[in-house]
Amino acid sequence: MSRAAGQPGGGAALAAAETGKRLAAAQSLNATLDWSQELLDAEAARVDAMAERGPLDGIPIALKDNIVTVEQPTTCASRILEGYQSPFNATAVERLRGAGALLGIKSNMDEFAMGSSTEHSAFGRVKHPLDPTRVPGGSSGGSAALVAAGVVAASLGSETGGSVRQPASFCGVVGVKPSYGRVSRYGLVAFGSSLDCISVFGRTVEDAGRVLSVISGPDPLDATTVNRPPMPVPQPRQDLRGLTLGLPREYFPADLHQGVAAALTRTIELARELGAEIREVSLPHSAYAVPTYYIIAPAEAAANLARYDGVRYGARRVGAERDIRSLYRATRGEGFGAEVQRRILVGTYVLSAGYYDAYYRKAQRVRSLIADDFRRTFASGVDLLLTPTTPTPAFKAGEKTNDPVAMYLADIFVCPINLAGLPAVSIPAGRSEGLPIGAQLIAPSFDEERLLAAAAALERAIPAEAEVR
Amino acid sequence: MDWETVIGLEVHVQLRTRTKMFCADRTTFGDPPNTNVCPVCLGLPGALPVPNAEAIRLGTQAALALSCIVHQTSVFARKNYFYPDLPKGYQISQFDKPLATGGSVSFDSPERGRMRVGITRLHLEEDAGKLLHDRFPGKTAVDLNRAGIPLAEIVSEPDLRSPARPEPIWSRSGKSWCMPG
Repeated sequence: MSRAAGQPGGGAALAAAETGKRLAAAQSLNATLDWSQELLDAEAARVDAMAERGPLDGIPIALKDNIVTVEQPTTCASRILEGYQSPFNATAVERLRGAGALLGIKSNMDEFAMGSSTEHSAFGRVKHPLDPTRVPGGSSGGSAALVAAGVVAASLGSETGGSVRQPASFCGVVGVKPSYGRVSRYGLVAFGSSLDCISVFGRTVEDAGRVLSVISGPDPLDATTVNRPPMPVPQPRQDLRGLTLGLPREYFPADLHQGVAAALTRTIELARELGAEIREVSLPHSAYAVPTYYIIAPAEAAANLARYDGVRYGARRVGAERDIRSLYRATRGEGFGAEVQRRILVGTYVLSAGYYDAYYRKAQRVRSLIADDFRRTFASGVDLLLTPTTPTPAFKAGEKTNDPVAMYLADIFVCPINLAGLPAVSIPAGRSEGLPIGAQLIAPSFDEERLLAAAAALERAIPAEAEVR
Repeated sequence: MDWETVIGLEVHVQLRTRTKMFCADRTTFGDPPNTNVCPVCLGLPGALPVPNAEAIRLGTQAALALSCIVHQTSVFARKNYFYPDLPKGYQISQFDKPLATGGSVSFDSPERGRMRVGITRLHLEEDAGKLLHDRFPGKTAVDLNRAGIPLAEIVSEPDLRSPARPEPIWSRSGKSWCMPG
């Protein structure tokens, strides 16, 4: 990973200038919500003035706009936070700064990270870098598109139900979701607190691993971080000898997109050639992951988004009655987009008295069963699981915006992993009709090192940009 | 018709900590408005609560003094409602898994002799802020210095039969709350 992606390393100022040029050239993607050459140059000056060269010295890294920064607004792509300026930096941002990364780019996203296509941004949809009529996936679509378009070497996104791995798969880049508790959530605007994870996009597994290693580790400001040292930079393996890869049959349905199926078949063959033992396994409760997720995540979101009330910060609208209820109604009714409102309504409903046991409590039980399936499978001698990341390649813009359930099903293979709190990575596994396809590897909790080492070995073997048939 | 007076109490006791329940702001009373506030108790986007160990220790002592069972596992929960003194739109409290349950207080009643009042539960929570309706004509001012102050909520069984009883119990123990040990 060189300072300006694809360029030999130079001063951070050179990286800032090159990154600015690339951002300007990629403007039509609508992948950014805020950047300026002045800020990039100021960042370069800061980095060059650092006493010691950090592990990410001068590397431009974009941040999803739900990660708070002092220097730039943090809007979550929502009208309700338009122009909001945080008085503090997220812990991950502080760690990237300390490592010498060049910040100053906030990327577009689905509003409050709710969506699978980055069409639900209040500031316009993000276009797929290879085909502007298609979506880059979501909700971290801006961060994915910036890496895919070669603007930055790496970027941060966030996952609640697959929002990094799914766009990584659509855009043909690497997306790593760490174990819950591995990376501090302090400064990540909360959506579903028991699920949210800052996650990383990179051009390669190694790049993503280096960034993850910098931002991982315990944080006294996030009581849910686990007290383990930061993840070391994974050493890539040459082969997969001694590893058992499980193929969960529920993740290979008969109606899987043919291109996806072909890419996975080839990936499995390559894994076998690299010495992996392949074993079919079953995760029966994963079938219920999408409905379970769409109870738990909206329930947590309904509480987490209650603070946007127009009283202290962000947009404020007062209705005709000019009382407190009309302040809430107008601010939230006009400030939140349709998908966010839909999820707040669903979340409030499933938590309400009389429905709590039927929906929320039951969903929590199913969540435990989904996690138990993974635990049992890993305990039976399977080291990693291999699945498709998404059921199809990138779909057309507008294709699913009027059908929320069809949109939700785009996350069918990624959201069970969030419910179980496990680490997983999506790597490019070939193309079908020119569109990237992703393969997903899933590991036991806090086994990121082994996960990324194996992913790097597969990555080397797979002709990622070649058409599969 | 004969009526019987039946009284149960719900008492909120501020825990004497230096800092708030979930952040490092001071708990001093009477400071200028909105000076003891930070991203956590203002409910700013991205801020997260970290429980105050001293508040949990004091709450546990109070629970033991009330002969409660202190639970190995207790859970903070969100109580959702909209009000301008509640920055997050929910209060962090405890609901189905409180810190302690099943205690009692005994005392001598002049009329009924030795009495025992059951303590249903003791749980920890954060206080809300303060609204001032009389400072600015036609407007309400919000002071969030108090938002996030640690409280123990103590709920009694409906064991009292006269309003004369609550007063000695709670004002005596309530005013001092000097814990044994």
